[in-house]
Amino acid sequence: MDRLDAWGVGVVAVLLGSAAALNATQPPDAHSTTPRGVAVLTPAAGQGPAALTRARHLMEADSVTEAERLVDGHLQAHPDDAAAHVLRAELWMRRQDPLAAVLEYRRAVLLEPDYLDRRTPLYQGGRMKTAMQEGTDEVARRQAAGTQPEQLKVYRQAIHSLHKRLEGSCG
Amino acid sequence: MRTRACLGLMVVSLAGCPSPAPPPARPHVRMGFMICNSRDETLQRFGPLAVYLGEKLGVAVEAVALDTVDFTKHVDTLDFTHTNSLLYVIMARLHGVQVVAGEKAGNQGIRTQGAIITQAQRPWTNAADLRGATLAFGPALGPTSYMSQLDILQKAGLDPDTDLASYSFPPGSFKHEKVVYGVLFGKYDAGAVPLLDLERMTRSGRLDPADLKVLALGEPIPYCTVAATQRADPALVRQLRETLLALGPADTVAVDGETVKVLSRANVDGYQGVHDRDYDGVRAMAKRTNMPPYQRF
Repeated sequence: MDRLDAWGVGVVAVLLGSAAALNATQPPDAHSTTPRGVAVLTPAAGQGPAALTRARHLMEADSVTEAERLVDGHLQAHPDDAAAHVLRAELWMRRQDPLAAVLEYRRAVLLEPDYLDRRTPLYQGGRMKTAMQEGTDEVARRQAAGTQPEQLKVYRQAIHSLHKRLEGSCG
Repeated sequence: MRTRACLGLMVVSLAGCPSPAPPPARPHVRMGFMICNSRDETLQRFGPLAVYLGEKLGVAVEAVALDTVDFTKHVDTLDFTHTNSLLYVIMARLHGVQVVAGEKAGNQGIRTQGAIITQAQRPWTNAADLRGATLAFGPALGPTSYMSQLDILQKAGLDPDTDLASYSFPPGSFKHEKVVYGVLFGKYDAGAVPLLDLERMTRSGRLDPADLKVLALGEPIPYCTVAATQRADPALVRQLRETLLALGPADTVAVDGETVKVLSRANVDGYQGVHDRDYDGVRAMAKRTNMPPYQRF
């Protein structure tokens, strides 16, 4: 083996070693398709406590009373379960009670702020806006019917709080 | 030895060259299409539209055919929806969906009316005459195959549960046509069907309008509607609206090796900008008839 042969072998060895090192440090394929995050809305995808999954299934089948019983029972045991508050809000909307829904949405947001973040799969802004709009109309209706403003304050505060957090950013 | 080393160096160098990177995958969106007559018919009609939209928007649009009664269970897994107006109203109220465009088809553009039909030779002249008759409805979540006709009957002072001999829903797919043929061949005294379907069946020669009589018509309301769910990218929603409104009869897309006219295949005339308030008539009707999303349990 002369000097040129030795140089060739040495270069080959360096290249092989460099390739091995690069492979070891290569990040995952940047072009792989990452499935879009499915909006995980309470236990819609079969996740979460069995009671909430069952409650959602009942709600979708219009068995609202039975769904409410399950969710209320769950909330008694787990008052800080944000997903349960969201589901309870949806049940209130089906009961045509947007003010009760707004209170539940506010509780849910305090427990899980991502419900207001459009960039996360938990985002529930669309549902909340409908409840807020109907809630605002209901507050106006009740006030026109003679309900004292102090009695409606808790609802106004909840609506304004959600509104501020949903729409209050600069971007 | 020198030659072998050089050759080896060349081989290693070539082997080390990275293969060309695959093109970046397009973002993936799901568009739910409410089943109109059957799953196959829906995908056959609207599959090309989904492909066309994907090309224009630079995304991969997955067309998903969903039954009316299952649609709301899946809405949170969708980006866009194509449904009747009642389903849109339900999803807008309960699922945060926003309207994108109304679909034009038939003589009234984005609107149609619910009709109650009977055989032409029947002596009845209005809905109130149907007391004691049998009636067939179309899909229960159809604004102009059930809700509108329920509204007509209630306005005529009839309670379907007590004042009709009976009412029923044809099983399976192609319900609108089954109602029409059921009335035509005497299986039902009367039927509830969208006026748009009568127009289409007449236009295609499947129905001679002289054989049937329209006993009553409901209020004109928007019909098929494209909407965006709360998870849809707002910029993409705007693009979708612009693309739909610009879609014309001559626009084509390549599907399975053939060039297809998008609108013609979908059996629609085009798309039109709409506002949410354009659906207030649907909402009012739903409240009158105790239908979702205003149903009181």
